Formats: sequence, structure tokens, C-alpha cells
Amino acid sequence: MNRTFVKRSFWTKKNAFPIAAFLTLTAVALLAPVYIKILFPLHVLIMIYLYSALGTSWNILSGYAGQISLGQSVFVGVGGYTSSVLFVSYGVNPWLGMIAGALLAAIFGWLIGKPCFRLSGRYFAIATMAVVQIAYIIVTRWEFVGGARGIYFPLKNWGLRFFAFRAKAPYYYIAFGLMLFSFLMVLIIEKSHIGYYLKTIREDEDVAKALGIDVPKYKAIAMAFSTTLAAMGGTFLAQYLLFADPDSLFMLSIPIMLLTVMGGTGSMFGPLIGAGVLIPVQEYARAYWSGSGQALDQILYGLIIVVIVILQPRGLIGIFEGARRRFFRSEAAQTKTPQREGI
Amino acid sequence: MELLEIRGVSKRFGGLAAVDSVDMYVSRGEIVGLIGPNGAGKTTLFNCVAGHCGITGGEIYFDGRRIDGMSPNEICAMKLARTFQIVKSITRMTVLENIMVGAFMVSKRIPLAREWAREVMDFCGLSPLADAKAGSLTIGDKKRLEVARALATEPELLLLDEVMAGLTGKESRDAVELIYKIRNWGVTVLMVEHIMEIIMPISDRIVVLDSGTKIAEDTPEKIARDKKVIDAYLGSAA
Repeated sequence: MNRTFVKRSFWTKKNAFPIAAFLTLTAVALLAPVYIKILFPLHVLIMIYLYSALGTSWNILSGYAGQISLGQSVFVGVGGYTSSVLFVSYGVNPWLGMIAGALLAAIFGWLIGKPCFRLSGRYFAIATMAVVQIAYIIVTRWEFVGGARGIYFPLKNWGLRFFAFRAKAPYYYIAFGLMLFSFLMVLIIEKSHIGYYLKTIREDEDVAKALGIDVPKYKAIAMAFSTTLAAMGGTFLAQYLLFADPDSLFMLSIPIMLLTVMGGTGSMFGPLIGAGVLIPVQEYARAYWSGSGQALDQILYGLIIVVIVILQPRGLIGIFEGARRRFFRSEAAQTKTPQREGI
Repeated sequence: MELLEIRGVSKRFGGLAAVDSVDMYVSRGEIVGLIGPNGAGKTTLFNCVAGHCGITGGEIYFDGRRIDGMSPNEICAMKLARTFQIVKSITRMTVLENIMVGAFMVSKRIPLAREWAREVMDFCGLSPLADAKAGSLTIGDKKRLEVARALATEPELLLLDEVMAGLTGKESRDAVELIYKIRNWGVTVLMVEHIMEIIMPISDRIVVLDSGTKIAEDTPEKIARDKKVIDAYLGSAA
């Protein structure tokens, strides 16, 4: 049993297409603010990147590890409120606040995880929903963090140092960076044993244990990745809106989950695809029709979700995977494995 | 000390004793068969040994260390692996990826785990199906995958829970051959099986459970003539 292996090169033909596509899209995305001078499209793109990152935070815990959370917004709220309170009340730099928020959210996640991970399936989902409701009520009544009014930023310090800008372009680049960071997290998970372990836990915890997987430990790892990312998104959102209130930070659980499910769970680009389709619909419908008082924007949003669920039940990523299969079919036909005989 | 020693183990579910003070052992290099009619407590005993359920009495020793009360993943790390009676393949992963999950017990580095998984896959005759999704396999191949995945954790003792149930004649002959190969590879095997024609020839020793108690333990030839065993299976004449 000698375990030798051939080191495979990263620059293979199979990798060439994804790498080229990634570099092209990144270049286009980085140049976008130079050419887009109207504010609204830029705002929509910022929201797409932010929600893609938040969707990824849900995807790690729920899509990969299978622990369906209906309370992901708790961690967004903890992140956003921590940096906001530290900045407005104590003058702590928001960048430091973001790190503090991420740490606090991770600790919070660990505390929630301890009892909740003992529950399985739908009971875990219900427990996380309860947690977000409790957190929402506490924050609404707690005057120290601004109560239901929320926290308004003083609007006097601007610039990169204070994570506050009058223009949209800096936010755009930071949101883009946050999204790339979320992809990096997924890449770390996918390219290590952690990804295999999380998927096994998702499919069957008994199998996971029987194969030597320390299930509580790996659930905690997924939770740590997930909460850190959600909290960073929360700080970004507070800095972008320049205020923090319970509704804008603690009520995002369902949209975050929805767009990830629409895009495709358990895959790296599912959240981005979901956000890329649903966020523009939501934002433009809101901008054009929400004033009518007839909730037309909500109806359109709902209709699109229904159509996606009917046509692509496993998420929009199914369309891309189907296209890729067709594209590589000739190649696959040559390497198709023969079936074993005698069955 | 034997590789596995089960001393007076009981498992009660409320008032029902699924396993009632059973003593048995498995020596290094053996193939031991565990048989008994439906509801005899075979799978429960397996679950107790592998740590999936706690025991209500007795002691279990593996490789000289007491393992009752340990969690399944700790027991697996001590090189005692199991398969499940109802196959539990990770359907969305390929055959190779399924085996890799077990192989991470040997190395957490992906290239090493993949290489080791390939070796085990080859050994179990699953290589032609490496990239097939586990959900698309036939029941025979799923059972084989179940064995391969457990084997990839590099166990000293492998618990096989009815790996032949539901297989065709050809498939079960292949499975018997695989079990011999596993033993010759240096892995001790304790297996539960329903099909007498299969377990009798391949076992070195057979333990018979009935209603949670051990009623016989001997070589296959003597078990086949044991009056208590025949009564348990066919009902007593009296």
C-alpha cells in the first residue's frame, strides 16, 4: 500500500475555460463604475454583490452542511449593529468594527449552535427562526442600540478610513471584494476535506459518524464560516445605508435564503446567479411600481419565483450545468466509462 | 486479549431486552458470522459495538480498550468500521468521492486521500464506475460501495450488516469473493447474514442469537446440526 500520487497541474485544458471566464468577468466588473455614470444601476450591482455574499453565508451552513437556517439575518444584524454601535457611541473605526462584529457573530453562532445543532431537519429551522424573532424584539426594545429608531451615523467623516463615501463607486469595489472573499471561503471548503465532510453530514449524519467524522465539530466549522461572512455583510450594509435599524438588518433571512435556493444550493455560483436574477427584479420593480400602492412589485417578484420553481426546481444553476454538459458532450462521449459485465 | 470482546452486553428499549447479556469475541484474522431469526438483535448488537446506541449493561473491548460509551466517530478512528443494512450512499457524490469521504481517515490531504480511495475502489472492483453518481448504481454495486467506503477508513475490524441481502446469485458470489479478499488483506470480519448457504461456508466461526440471547457458538458444521439452532429457525417439534 504505497501511497504515491502524481501532482496535477492547475493550468490544464479543463481549467482553462473557467479561468479565462473568471478573469474576463472580473475585468468587466472592475471597469463597470468607470462607464456607468447613473447611480441606480450601480446601486443594483452593489446589492447583487452584497446579496451574493450573504447568500453564500447561508449556502455554506444550509446548502453544503444541510443545516437549514431560517435565521441567517441574526448574524447580519450582529455584524451591522456591532460596528455601528462601536463607531457611533465609542468612535471605533468601522473596519475594526467589522472584525469585532465578525468575531462576535461567530461566538453568537457557536452559542446558538450548541443547543440548536442537537435538533435535526425542520426542528433546527424552526429554532433558528425563533432566534431571529427574539433578537429582533430585543433590539427593537433596547434603547442602548437605538431601539426601533435605529442608529444614525453622524455623516461628518468620509473616506476609505471611515468606510463611508458620498459616491457609489467605492462601495461598489468593497462589495465586489466582499463577494470575492465569499468565493474564496467556498473554494477553501470545496477544495479540502471539509467540503466532502459537510456534504456527507447533509446527506446522512449516521453515515458521517460511521466514517469517523466528528459531526459537531464540522457543523461548528460551517457555522463559523457562515456567521463571519454574514456579519461582514451586515457591517457593509450599515455603512452603505449609513444607519442601522432592526428592519434593514434583522429581516433579511428569507430573501437571503430565497435567492440562494433560486440560484442553486450547494454550488459555488448559485447565490450569485440567484442574486443576479432576483435583485434587479426586486430593485427595478420597487423603483417603478412600489409607489402605486398596489404592491405590483411584490406580485411580479412572486411570479418570477413561481416560474423559476416550476422550470428549474434545482435552481437556475441547472441551466448553466445543462449548457456545459451539451458543450462538453463530444469530449465526454469518448471517455465514457464502460459498464461492468454480468449485471 | 481478543480483537473484539463483548462481555455480558445488554440493550433494553423500555421493558424489551433487544440484546440480553451476550458474550462473544472475535479474534484477529477471523471471519465470524452472526446469525439468528428476524428480531434476534443482530443489528442492535452491531449498533452497540459501533457506538450508534448506548448499552444498558456489560462491557465492550476493542483492541484492549473499552469502547462502550464512545461515539461512532471515535470508534471509527480506533479502526473499527461498519456498513449499514440499508445502504446509505451519498447519492449526489460519485463513487470515487463516496470512497474518499472514508479515505480522509487515512489522510486529510485531497491528493493522498484520492489515491488511497482509488486503490480501495480498485480492490473492490468498482473502478469502471468511478465517475458514476452513487444514486445511479444497482443495488449490488451500492452494497459494494458501502463496503469500499468503510474499508477506506483502513479498519482492523469490519462489521458487515447483511451485505448480501437482495443480491442476485452472481452478485452474491462476487460478494463472497470480496469478503475473502478483505480477510486476506489483513482485515478481520464480523458479518450479519440471513442467507445460510452463504454464511456457512465462509465463516470460521458462527454465533447464533435468538430473542437477544446467544444460543450457540461453534464451527459452521456443528452449528448446522445444533438442535437449539434448528428449533430457533424452524420452530421446535414438541
